[in-house]
Amino acid sequence: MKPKGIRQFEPLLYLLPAFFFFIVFTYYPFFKTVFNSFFLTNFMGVRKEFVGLENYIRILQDPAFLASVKNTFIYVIVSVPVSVFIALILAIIANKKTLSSPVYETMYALPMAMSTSVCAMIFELMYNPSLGIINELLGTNVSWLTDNRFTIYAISFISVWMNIGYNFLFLLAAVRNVPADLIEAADMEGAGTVRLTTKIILPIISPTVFFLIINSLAKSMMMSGLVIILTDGGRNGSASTMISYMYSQSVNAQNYNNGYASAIIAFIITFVLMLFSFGFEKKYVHYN
Amino acid sequence: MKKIVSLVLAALMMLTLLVGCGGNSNSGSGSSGSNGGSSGDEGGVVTIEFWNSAEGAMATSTEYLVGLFNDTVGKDKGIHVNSVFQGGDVVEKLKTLVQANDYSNFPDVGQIYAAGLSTVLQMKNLVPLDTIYESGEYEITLPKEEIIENFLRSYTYEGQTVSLPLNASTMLMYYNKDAAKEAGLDPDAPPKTIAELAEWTDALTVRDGSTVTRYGLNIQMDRYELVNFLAGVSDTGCNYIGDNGGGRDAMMTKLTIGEDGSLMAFLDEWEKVIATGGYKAVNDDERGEFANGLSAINFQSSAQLASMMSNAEGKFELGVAPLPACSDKYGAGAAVGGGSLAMFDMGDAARRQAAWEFMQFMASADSQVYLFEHNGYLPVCKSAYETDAYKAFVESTPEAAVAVEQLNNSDPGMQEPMDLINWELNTLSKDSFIAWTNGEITKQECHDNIVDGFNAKLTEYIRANG
Repeated sequence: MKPKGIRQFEPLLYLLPAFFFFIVFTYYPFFKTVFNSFFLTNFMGVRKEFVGLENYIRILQDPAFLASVKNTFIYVIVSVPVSVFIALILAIIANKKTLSSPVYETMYALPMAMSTSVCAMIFELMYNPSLGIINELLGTNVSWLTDNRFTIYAISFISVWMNIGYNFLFLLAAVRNVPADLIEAADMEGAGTVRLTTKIILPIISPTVFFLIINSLAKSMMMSGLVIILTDGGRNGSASTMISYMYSQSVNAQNYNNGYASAIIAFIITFVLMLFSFGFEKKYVHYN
Repeated sequence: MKKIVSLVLAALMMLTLLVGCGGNSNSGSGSSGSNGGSSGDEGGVVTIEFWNSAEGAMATSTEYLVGLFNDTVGKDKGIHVNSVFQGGDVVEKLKTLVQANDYSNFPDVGQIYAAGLSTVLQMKNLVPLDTIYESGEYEITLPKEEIIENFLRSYTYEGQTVSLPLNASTMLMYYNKDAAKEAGLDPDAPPKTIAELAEWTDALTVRDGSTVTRYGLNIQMDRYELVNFLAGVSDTGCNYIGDNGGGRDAMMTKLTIGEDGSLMAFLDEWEKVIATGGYKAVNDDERGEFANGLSAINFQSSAQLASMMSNAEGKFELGVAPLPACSDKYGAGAAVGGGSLAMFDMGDAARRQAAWEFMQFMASADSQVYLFEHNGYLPVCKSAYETDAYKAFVESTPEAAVAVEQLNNSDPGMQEPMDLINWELNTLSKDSFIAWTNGEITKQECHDNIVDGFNAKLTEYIRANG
């Protein structure tokens, strides 16, 4: 037996290495950003004078930033549930193990292995109004990536496609872990597929679904890559998200003042949303 | 027992971590030493680092020229150049080093665009081109007088020439000669004014019912396109776009294209182009669509000449023409764009000499003619135009001579402005022109969005940086 002091100290010791990197790469930059956001900063990142909340007030009056907040929400609302839902359907379809299982399991999971920039380039070609396959198949004449009305949905679609693979893997494992006797019993009682899914499978796999939703929520709130590569924020910022706005202000326009303030606002909104989601955990997620 | 083992392991991990960090800080403070290993004096050979932002065909050419230098001049003089691609903008990377106060990891030579000039000037280890020429410290094989004035002015700020022009280009009009013939236009007499461009656009547009199947003209009016079209719209022959000589005599504080009426004069003419209904204002894939016959006229940099020619090969005959003037009232001309080479002092005279040797090689007549042939960049030194290689190439590829002719017709003052927040002008111009073409805003609103929008952003920038 070890002395009590060491026992108490031991878990902390394990946390230390990770904590060190968190401090260097996450907490320190975060607090520095919060601090800097109250200053007027030049393009080299040098603080010039204290301006209080001015940076925040300015971007909250900037229609481009407000549009980016709205777009982020549209993006989250469209892409998060849809990608989890489609992955869930695929997981239920693929539930039964057969000889061909490995083939379609791999096919469903494949989008996960694609990098954002490669996907963006492939979809850019597909979305091209005159040369692309999408308009050709749909018989439409839509500028998917430049028409304000469609851009954010076109981008959400790509991200749904990209996230299905990851979500599918987790959900398939969860669905296959549902005890067979439970399903058998329900089957014998005459429960159909819909009833079986909503009453038996969903409650049992709810921790996995919850994890996926929280995970993609955080990722989606921070999404910027697709927007930057495909639209550069769109016309009058019509396709920008909070983080792409932050990027374009800090890097393209060399305006760290707007950059810092938008980063902090994006953080606060995401944080509140996460707290809100965890509120659902108690009610809908079953761990037993 | 298990607990003891895990405890020991954890302690070991911590130790590794601490050692790792310690090592890090050591290598951080001593990086000038370690840098000296990879770039510096080693066995009589001076190694220098060159950061470039060359992509596509230019990347191949850059690598070729660097290799050629290492094998020829470099070998003779004991110099080796390490070429490093640093993404689209070298200045962005240099800025990161400055922010970290890390001057030891600077390259000896960097490829700099005019837009980055004011940033580079704030770097304390910069060796401006004027200093190189005036110090008497360097062996000069490429005198300053040898470099074409238009290009030198591109890299001059507050009277001081900062860097050596490397790859210079101007915007050109590319058109489908076969389509012009079919439309009953004379393919050898391309439009000379915007009004004529509108006529061509109209004639070249093909419709299937109400849908346009071939646009007469496809051009997204980004900052680059706008400043080029505006370059000649001036009573004095040269439009600086902004005050203080387009931001070259001192920091630009506002756009002048609003108050001097040049933007409106251009918009008045451009309205005719929009009225044809055959003008596509969005860049979905301008070059791809032009190559596939989905548009008949397109504007691109002369640096795209080689790729435009190979894209059109076997499909249609490519026409190349200078930019049309705004109207008969104004002269033609285009703004010079492209990149340059800037030297940074790495604290070693031998490395500075080596860097200068390399820079002169890149701007020399032979290298410049090579870039001209393989990319369409205009030679920056006068003697290049006298070489046999240049003359032979122009004779075999007359399209290449169009950019040179345009340069000769352009006022030396015509440059892309140093508008500091050029990204903002890009966005404002692009968005306003698309909205105007779509009928969402009026001509006056398009004008005001660009001028007032940009000036407001510039004021904000000056407050933080002035």
